[in-house]
Amino acid sequence: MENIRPKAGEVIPWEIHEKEYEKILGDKELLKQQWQNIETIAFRFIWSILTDF
Amino acid sequence: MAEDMDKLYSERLKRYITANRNEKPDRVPIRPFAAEFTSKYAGFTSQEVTHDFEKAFEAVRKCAKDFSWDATVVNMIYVWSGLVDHFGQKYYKIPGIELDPNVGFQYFEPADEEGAFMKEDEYDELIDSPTEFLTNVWMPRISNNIVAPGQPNTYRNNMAWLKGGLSLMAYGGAIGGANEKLKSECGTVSCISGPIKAPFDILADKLRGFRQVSLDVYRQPDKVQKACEALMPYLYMNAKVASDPSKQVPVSVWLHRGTMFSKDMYERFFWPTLKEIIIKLWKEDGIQTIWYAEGNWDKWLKYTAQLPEKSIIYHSDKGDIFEVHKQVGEKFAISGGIPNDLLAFGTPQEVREYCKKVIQTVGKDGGYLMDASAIIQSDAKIENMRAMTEATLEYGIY
Repeated sequence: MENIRPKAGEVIPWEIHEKEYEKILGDKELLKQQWQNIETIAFRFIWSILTDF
Repeated sequence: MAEDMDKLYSERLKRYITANRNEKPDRVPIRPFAAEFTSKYAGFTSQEVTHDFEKAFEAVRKCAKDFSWDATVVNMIYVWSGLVDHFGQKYYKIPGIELDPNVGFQYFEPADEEGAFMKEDEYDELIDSPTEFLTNVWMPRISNNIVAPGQPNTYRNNMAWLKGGLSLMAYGGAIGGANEKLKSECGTVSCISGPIKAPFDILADKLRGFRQVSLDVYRQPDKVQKACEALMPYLYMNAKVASDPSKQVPVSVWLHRGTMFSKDMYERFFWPTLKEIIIKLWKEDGIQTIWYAEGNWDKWLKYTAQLPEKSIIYHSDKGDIFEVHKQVGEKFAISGGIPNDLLAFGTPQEVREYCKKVIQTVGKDGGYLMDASAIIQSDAKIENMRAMTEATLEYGIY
């Protein structure tokens, strides 16, 4: 089983995902920003099931 | 929004913020946390408001208009059972399914080690990676649909993740719309944004269960402490990302098990990590917390008093609100304290007298928000809720 150990606010950190690209020809920051936006929502889903539901 | 409604909303928002900051507004704000009372008043069953959030929002709006509420929770029947139906949580009993349609939803806590959603030898796994533990271990146990990694995947598992996520997005989006309608149709402020739970409460409520954690604090206290410390940054972040970006509206912490343990245990397991979350939210993010002290927390007032000035709004339930005011009233705003049994079984005159007494003592210098002691259920009499509003409008003007 994977052992990712995500920090608070993330579920699959950008630092791990970044290494999964063979190469990035364009704007890396754009990829990172969009990745992290959804990371926050996914984090909130997991933890809101625990705290709210 | 009509100009007069816009003006009303602005006045109420100012009143709410001023009272929350323990200052003197123009009048004591009325800020009820009302659940099934709203459905009774609006003519819906509990099943309707629990399973159809638009009906729940509508019921709140009807009450907010008719009882002149300055601020309230947009839906205090916080568990939308539609999401529960899609994701498959086992620990709820839902009105209209396993309960009478007119009974509020119920949480069923595991009563023994066999039923515990986290086992006694799994503390290290939780401490090592809390989010992965919840996803890989806890969720497959609490859901009828989710399977653990390594187990054969199922169509139902895939659909539960998909529909669970979509359900939360649908509910979150609808809450945004409901906040706007509460503002534009009633001039009422949506009074909280973002939840906190104390790390120890998460262990006791949702992971181990109260009976199991009561043994753990003796058998493996170091692990309990480390688990609370490991959960702390995640629970802080969970509150922060759901909080009001404008920082006008507080987050809320629903306090559960801290009063059921000794002073030494409170000092070791409960207080330090909860204190850190609240201080971080206030000092780093400028976000206040409603300290919703369910039960009687008077014996721990000297700890609560350590929190920074204005960082919390102290909500008094079964405690002595007059004693709360004496001990922490100079540092924090106070809310609640109108007994739910008085609202259920008293007369309007008795409610008026009690509200007057609270306003003229606890609220005499500002920093008080009118509310019942605990979340208002269907047993509250309509005429008594009306008396609470009338007393505030009559005696609460500064």
